[in-house]
Amino acid sequence: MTAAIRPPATGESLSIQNVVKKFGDFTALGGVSLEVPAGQFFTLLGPSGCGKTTLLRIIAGLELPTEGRVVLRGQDLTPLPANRRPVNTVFQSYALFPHLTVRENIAFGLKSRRMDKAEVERRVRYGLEMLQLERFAERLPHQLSGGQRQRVALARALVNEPQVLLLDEPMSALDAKLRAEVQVQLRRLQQQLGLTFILVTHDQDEAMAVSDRIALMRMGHLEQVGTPDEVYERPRTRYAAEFLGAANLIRGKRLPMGLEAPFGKLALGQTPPWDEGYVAIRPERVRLSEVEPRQNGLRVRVREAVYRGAYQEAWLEPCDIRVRTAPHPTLQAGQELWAELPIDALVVLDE
Amino acid sequence: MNRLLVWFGELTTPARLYRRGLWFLLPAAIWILGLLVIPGLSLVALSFAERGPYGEVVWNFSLENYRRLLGYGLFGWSPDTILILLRSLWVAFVTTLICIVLAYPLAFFIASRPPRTRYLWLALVIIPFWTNLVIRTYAWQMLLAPDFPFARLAQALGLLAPDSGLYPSPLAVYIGMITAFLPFVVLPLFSSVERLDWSLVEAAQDLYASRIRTFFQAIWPQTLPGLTVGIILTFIPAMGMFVIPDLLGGAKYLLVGNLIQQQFYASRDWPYGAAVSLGLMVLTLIGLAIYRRRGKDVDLV
Repeated sequence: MTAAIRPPATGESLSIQNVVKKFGDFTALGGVSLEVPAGQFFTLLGPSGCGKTTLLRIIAGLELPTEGRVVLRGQDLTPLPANRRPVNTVFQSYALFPHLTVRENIAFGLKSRRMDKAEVERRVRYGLEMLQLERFAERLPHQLSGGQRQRVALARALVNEPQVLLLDEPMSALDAKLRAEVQVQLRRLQQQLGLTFILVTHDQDEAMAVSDRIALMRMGHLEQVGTPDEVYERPRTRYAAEFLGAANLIRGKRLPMGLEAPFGKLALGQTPPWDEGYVAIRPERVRLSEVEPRQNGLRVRVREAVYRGAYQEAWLEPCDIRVRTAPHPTLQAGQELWAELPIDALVVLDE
Repeated sequence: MNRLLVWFGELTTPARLYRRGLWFLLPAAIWILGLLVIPGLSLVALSFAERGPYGEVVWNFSLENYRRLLGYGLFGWSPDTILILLRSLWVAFVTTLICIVLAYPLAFFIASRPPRTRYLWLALVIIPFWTNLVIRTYAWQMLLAPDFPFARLAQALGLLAPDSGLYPSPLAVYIGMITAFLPFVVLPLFSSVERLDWSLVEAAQDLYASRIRTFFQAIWPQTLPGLTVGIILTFIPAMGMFVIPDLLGGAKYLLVGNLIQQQFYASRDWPYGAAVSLGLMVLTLIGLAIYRRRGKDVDLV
């Protein structure tokens, strides 16, 4: 029986309304507003110190916002203490109770709410099964591996049927290979249960792999919110372009439907809104060819080429552009060829 | 045993390593043999001897001292010694319990101070150690004397007869004992509280736990190592304490420590004193065994 305990909620959403958090003089969150649709896998992405964990803790009730409100399905959560909010957290350190077995850890929230024994038993069994923990039910946390502990933390939160599950960098303690597996599992679990997941991470690959939507944060405010491909393909700022993946930034002056770059004129799909600014292109969107392309072609020389197995990477001069292409034919340093910057791959940044 | 072996970078053989280990153990072995095993065995032997007419030890084997310990005296059976033993157990238990109750808030208070003032507070807890226990106990005699505010207050409230002091009394013994032993609970508890993993507290809150449940599931188990040290450091010496009941309890509130002291000094009855000492030791070991049994489930932390 792996059916969801509760039918997935749809439509109703978690709403963060102008949340400000100050620690003394330091402003951790400078007025963040967000709508998280129910049933979505939502990721708060950003470097350390950007306020993403603080925001998560405010939703959990572990931190009080200086200003603003957290509203869940029309109910204002802000005045509720953590132990009365219908949300549960998977902590970065997992925070499993060391003196309780896996089974008792999973039952903790249910017992806190004084559920009757049969129901506790049923849900714990469900949690153990859902995360393949049956074999470890009687073990203590210190007898488990990191991955197993993480699953216990997940089960312990999920058996409470939270309306929102909060995940605070739950994969940061796992090694790269396990992390990739867990990401897939987590995504599958979220879709099975239809729950709202809010994940905090600084790992852009992880964010891209699991999320329905990503909110990119920077210094206490939201930089950009959108689906992974929106944020990746259409970054709005230099910060967004550089934080998610690699980007070539080309500085230049405005032209009608174009850009006056140091190495020549480029055609763009729009007229930039500024006089002087940046245009971005992903390395894998730059096309190389032996013949001159019809538009936005540059005569370049390969300064350096690195073979990476699945792809090769090269730095071109004189335009200082980085490309990522299929590994064959192999590029040689000093080789001269044409590079095309396709119009639809050039993104005009806001600033 | 001539196999070669690398011991933290040193090339040696198991036999040599073993011999060296024995040499290192020798001082401690001599110490324990000379100051624990031999005196202990003498005490056991002594407890089966008899007191001579002038207070000397007469080596006649008998169980007389243990009979007396169980209450059979010259004038038939009396519950006095058993009462003293049980009272000592009770006083040690209550002292330990009250110390724990007082130590928790204090340990949390100190641990929550900013680092700079934290050590000031710790120093305040430790400072009484710099004064001799006897002197501190005399100080309580002064403080609890008839003319001092505490006694005056009790007199005014009608709890105490006019012109009498708060000592000698069981209350005075408790006050003396608790103030003497509180630091022994606070300091180990503080070291546990200082290292407390607060994410467990947050996890408990996140999982709908009430304050009481949060305390007993997320905080209490983490403080058990410090608490155990505190309990042992308090309970065992409190069982044998004789200075404080002697100075603050008066003749009517004898504890086993006083009884032993009397045998070795005033009564010059060393054999009986030895028997009482062994009785105290057995009682203490039983107390610790019960504690360890009860604590087994949680000791795994």
